[in-house]
Amino acid sequence: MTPLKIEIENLSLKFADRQVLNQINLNIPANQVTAFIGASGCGKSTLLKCINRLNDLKPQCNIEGAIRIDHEDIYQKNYDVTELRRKVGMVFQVPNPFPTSIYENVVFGLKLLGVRKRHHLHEAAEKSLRQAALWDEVKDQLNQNALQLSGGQQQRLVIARALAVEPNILMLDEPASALDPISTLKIEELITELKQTYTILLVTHNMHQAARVSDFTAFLDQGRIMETGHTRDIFTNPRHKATEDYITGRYA
Amino acid sequence: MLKNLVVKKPQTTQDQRWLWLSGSMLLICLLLVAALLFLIGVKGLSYFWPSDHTEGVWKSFFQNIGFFLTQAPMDHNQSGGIFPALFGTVTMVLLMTLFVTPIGVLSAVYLSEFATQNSFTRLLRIAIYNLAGVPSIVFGVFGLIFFVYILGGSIDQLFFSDNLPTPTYGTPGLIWVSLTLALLTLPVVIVATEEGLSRIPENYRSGCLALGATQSEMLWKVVLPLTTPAMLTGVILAIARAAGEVAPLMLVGVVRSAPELPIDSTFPFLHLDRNVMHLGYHIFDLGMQSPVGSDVMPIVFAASLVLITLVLMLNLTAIIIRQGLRRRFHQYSQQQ
Repeated sequence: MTPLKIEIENLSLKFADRQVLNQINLNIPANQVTAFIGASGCGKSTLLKCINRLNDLKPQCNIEGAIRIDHEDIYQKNYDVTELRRKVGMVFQVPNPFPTSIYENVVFGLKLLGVRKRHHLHEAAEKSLRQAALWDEVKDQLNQNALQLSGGQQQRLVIARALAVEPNILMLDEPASALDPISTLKIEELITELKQTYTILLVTHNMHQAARVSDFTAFLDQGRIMETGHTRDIFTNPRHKATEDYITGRYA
Repeated sequence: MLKNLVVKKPQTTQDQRWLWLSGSMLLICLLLVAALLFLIGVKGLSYFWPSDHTEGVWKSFFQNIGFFLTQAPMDHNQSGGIFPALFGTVTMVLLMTLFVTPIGVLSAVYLSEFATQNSFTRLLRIAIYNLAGVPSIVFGVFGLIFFVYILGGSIDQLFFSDNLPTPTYGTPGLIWVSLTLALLTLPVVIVATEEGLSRIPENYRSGCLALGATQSEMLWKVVLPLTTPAMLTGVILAIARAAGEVAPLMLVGVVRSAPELPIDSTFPFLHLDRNVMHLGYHIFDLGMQSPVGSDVMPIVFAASLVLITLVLMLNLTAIIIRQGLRRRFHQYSQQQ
């Protein structure tokens, strides 16, 4: 059994009076791809944002329970949130490169860390762009505005940007839902490539995608974890009727 | 151009009537604006047209314009140029921009980025919006009492007590004019900046935070740079409003005739305590108070022409800067 990377224990989250996550218990193994599936509004994205504490700034957000990364409670008092977010990279549904050059986008996180040496920045930029399988396409236009790239390239650029600060967990929130099939394929190949080095969390609405790239799957329904397990077990032999209905498209 | 104004043919008589009614109202507006521009333009330019139609008419025409813009007024403002008034207007508006931009922008940042959104902040926001509707003369009275008497008076007591009872800052002057203008235009800048901030996609913010940025790093490196076009819109509106104000400024430092310019070669070069001349007041003074009446009307038109040209130029400069920024954030502005 692979070692555990993230342990989620009795996690509940409320926005004002709305219970969004309810008693979530989940263990996420290291260097594997864990997929989160479930209908829109079931709390998948909110769960991801609990892991890098991006919900903290939202008004009237109330979180109970514990999340431990490498056995350390990330909701403990005086925990360095910015440090946590460097350790846990996140890629969003809509590609969100900043309106500056490709190069500036990739080194953004490093500059925040105070890295100023140019050769260091150059090396890191090349390394992460190669990791994100974008280097060959953009190496001659690093000073071009990032917003001129195609959607798929932008998404890979955002992945490179997240990788540049050397996280050990990478969370992808429907990374391919706004992309065409070819770009989607590239992102999926990339995910398989990256799981050698990173623990990957993937939220997706695409059942085939979950089946293709993930090792473990968690099915969420109305803020609760309905079923978790090896992806092949869930997709071939679901234990719950709700899971089966959802993955076969009979969800109502 | 007219072709662009023609709409699809209305299908019912009721629509037809509304088309005619609304169309004719628009026509009235257009005619009034055209008449204004025509009158000021023609009357203003004809002031510069040389009276003797000898050769080199154009040369002396431009010489007259140059003379008007660069020379001081003579004979109780009734002849000569308008340079001090032009210079004063530009100086006080630029100085106002220096005051109003940081105060307005940072207030907006606090209101929409840091403050919890509750009934108190809503009340605060409504108060700020309503500040824009306060008659400008009220700001003038406030400026006179608060800035000139209270603030200026205290400065004199603390730093210039040797000169008392002759006031240094406790008297109307450039600094108080600019501060009053800044106060007057503050709501415009706050509102525009707040709107700009609220238009930055949530996506950029979370993307930035997710990379380990603190909230202030996110603000300075991503959110505020993207808001600059909106801020500039606010500043443009502020400048346009400020350059046209007259009434409140008469109370806090704008005078009919100032012996010296607010900027010159003697230390400290920028003299914040000096009285200044102002184009708007110059026009008012000549138009209303000159004993000779109609004889000076051509100067009034010429000065008005200069004033609207100045406002137009200040606006154009800001718009060009804003367009440049928008082009940099190409896709972002399309999302707007």
